[in-house]
Amino acid sequence: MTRQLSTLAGLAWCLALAGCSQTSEEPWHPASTTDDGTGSSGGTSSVGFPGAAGSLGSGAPLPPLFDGHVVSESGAKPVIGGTLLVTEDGALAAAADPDRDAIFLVDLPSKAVRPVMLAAGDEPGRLAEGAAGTLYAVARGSGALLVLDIASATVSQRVPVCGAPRGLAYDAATARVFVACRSGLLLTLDAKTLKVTRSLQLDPDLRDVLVRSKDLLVTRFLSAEILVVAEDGSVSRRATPEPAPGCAEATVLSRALLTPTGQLLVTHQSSSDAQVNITEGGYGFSCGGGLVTRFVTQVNVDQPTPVPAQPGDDLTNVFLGQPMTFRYLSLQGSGGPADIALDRGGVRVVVANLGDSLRPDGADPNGIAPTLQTGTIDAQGALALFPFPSVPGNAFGEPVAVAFDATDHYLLQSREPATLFFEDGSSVVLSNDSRADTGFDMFHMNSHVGIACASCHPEGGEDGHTWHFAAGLRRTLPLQGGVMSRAPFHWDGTLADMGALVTEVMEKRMDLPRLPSDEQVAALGTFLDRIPAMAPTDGLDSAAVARGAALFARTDVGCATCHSGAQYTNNLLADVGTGGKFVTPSLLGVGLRSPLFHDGCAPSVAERFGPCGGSAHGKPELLSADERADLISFLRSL
Amino acid sequence: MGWSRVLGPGAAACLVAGIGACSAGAATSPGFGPIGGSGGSEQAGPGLTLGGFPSIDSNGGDAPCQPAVASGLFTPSALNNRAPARRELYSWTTDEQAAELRDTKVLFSRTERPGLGRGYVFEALQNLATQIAANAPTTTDQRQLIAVLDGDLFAKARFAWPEPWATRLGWPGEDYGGQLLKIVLKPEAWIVIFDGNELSVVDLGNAPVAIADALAHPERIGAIFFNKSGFAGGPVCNGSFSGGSNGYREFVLGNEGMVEEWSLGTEAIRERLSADIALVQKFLPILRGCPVTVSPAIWNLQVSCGWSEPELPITSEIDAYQAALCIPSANYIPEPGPIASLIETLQGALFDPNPLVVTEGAQ
Repeated sequence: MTRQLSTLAGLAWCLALAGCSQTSEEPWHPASTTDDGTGSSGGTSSVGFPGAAGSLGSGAPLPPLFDGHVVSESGAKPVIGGTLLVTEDGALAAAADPDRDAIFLVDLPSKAVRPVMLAAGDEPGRLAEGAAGTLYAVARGSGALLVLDIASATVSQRVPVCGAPRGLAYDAATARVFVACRSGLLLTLDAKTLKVTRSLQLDPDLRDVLVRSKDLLVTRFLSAEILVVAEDGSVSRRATPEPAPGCAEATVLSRALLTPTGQLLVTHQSSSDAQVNITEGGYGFSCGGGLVTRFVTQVNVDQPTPVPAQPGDDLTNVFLGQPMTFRYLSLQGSGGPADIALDRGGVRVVVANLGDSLRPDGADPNGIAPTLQTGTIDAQGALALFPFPSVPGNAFGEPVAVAFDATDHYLLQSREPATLFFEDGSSVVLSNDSRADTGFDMFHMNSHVGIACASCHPEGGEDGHTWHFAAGLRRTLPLQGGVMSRAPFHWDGTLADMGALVTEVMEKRMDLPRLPSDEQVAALGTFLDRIPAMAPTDGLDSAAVARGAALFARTDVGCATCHSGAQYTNNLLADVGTGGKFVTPSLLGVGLRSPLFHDGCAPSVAERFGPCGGSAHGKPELLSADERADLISFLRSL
Repeated sequence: MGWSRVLGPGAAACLVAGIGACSAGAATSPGFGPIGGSGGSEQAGPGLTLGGFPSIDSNGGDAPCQPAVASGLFTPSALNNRAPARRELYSWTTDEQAAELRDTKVLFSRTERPGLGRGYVFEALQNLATQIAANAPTTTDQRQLIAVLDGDLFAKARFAWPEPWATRLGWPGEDYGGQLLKIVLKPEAWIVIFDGNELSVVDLGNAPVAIADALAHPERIGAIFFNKSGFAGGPVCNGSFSGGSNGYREFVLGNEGMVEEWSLGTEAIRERLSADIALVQKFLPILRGCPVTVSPAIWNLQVSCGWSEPELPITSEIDAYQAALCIPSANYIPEPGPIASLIETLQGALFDPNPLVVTEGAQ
């Protein structure tokens, strides 16, 4: 394999940051326990840069990615963040670990660790403190609400809630637990009986739920939308952050926190709607030409901006919606997932980035380069972060979550090594069970132009964004559910396998300076292939699903002709009248994926049967309205 | 491609240098600022790729798509700002207003939109009057015409466009209603053309009319054709860096004396709506092969600047579509999602005929 690079784009980035003048030889991964000695088969060939700056230091060819290290660990999962909690009394830190299916309870005075081992596949996520001595956790993989007894470090109860629980909150005033599900269900449970007392069907892809005195704030993940849910269950207001002039729509709102004044602090991305540049480094930089920028945004949900008299209003006498006000900070160069925390006074902020390349020491950016930024919110509500990471990279392993303790000092949870780091420099090991994984690292690392695989495929999935390529619109494809069975890759099917994808996308468009070996490429494929399929829509009528399955299989209707096999695709190009030939997409998870088609034409499965469906896309016209509804139910079950 | 717009060298430098050179508030240093609002106030941000389908290295198989040549779908609807006069216009309205219209038979009854004032066109007229007073006080005919338009003649107004499909979706977050009004002007009506900088008058054949004549016979002014150009705070065309808020254009109606007939719920309106649906349905598959690939703000800039070219730059079907627009908002960007949504929304506006036809003197 010969891989050649051009780094003009990277050069510009370096020059802009003035941080590329020296090379660090520090180990890329201090906690790596495995070095199988696998050499690079082709990673060192043809690596060079046009000029000294392009070499990121010396001008000499760079060593291969991760110096050729390869390790593969089956437990490694894409980062979800937001898995660290400190109890109100400051006595306990709880770190949910989806990679190890465990929750680690850390007695903060003594730093003694007690693991709560969960069932395989539980994938614990968000945590919430309940009544005295109780913690709640959502098991994202198994669809349960877990009740933990702190004293005994055990799961005292396990309550099935929905296919994919995401957000979690406890309201001490009313003794209620709220669970937000990916399907759009917002469940209210009585904390004593753990019975569901209310089930609201909101928009899908819910993320965090936050309790205020008179309402709930609920975020949506990919659309980055914020919903204000009134006590009666109605959505009284909704808005999406608009990060900055020159940047595009907000996407991937991964974490939301409530400030002491009842407002929101969120971290999210902005995905470009400018034309995507697929030349060397073309995926890099940020707003004004690049693809993805990360933001920390303050959202005042209670202070609608005055509705301006817009020119277009001349055609109407109606104006809908109440925009919220926003303040934002961009996280330059941040390529990997980020988590944020706010201290109890609402003054100190800490942001952890995995895969950040913005390092003040100019160290080799081509590795997992985690950073931690601290900042403040002043009396006027102005958020400021230090312009450069306050702590050099690699000091904290692979940070996935942050929190503040009762004394307003931050804690940081590292995935690998599984460690809890404290602001005073101390740390405590949570587990010695390694989850080091080369595929994980490749997936999350900043390629050095401010973007990672995880930028467009958050949590190993997709960002819901439709990109503007010169070839036309191309919606990000999901990776869950066995992506290696779905080659060739990309909508046009031009990338035959993972090697071709890494060469074209990572090495060229993302301008990866150090080249991965074939073994590392294989490790990336393995990591991706292990990402499980998403849970389908909740609450489907099983009879309708069964009827829909039969319709789907009908040869005259023609769905299964192309959407065949376990992946519901034959991996072949087809022109179904939607604007060209495209690889038949898998239907796994299609019920909660939005939008659909290569160009994002249809907002949901239902709209697939409208104008977007294509003139030669099976024969849905053979179906009655009821049959079509059954077919939609079946598709939502996949 | 016809509607491509050339930026000055500053924009190109911006693209090369990356974020630091491009965006004052985007991503350069800590601190924050106000965020742009919706729709019409959106800034056309700098540093974005503009126009057309530039040649990009297709390694990886992503060959640039080729736009379909204009096939005549939208060409008949293309409207050049230099010759905008049309006699037949359409206006969407709410169920509530439609009921009121049926009850009162009075077409113009509103002096302003609740909470939003009379409309930006009147603000722009007043701005121009102020500028003339300060800089060219001898230009009395323009000031007098502004006074006419800003007076009783258009005190009660309605906004309209020749193509029903082009206004149904409007700006994001707004809904003008699902009832379609048809308004026909008298053949002798004149149109005042206003771009924020100056006023001119044409008859319905787009032949010039002297302003002195319009001042002498203001009763013949049937509509104001307003184009929100850079002079009125709209998009700045041909600058090194783009600026200004979103561009748009509209017909402002208010002089009942120049309305020959207006109607609601007729078979003819339904047929027109059905024809519009069929038109947009034919456009969707063409579009999916080669959609616009710029941001909504940049697209608005391209489209609204193209309207004022001496000849509309139509080489593709998308060009023709853009030449027929009046609200180049994200709802109308020629991408599959918005166009599919437009089809479905128009389909939702189909109705069982319940005709109301009001001719002059029938009120």
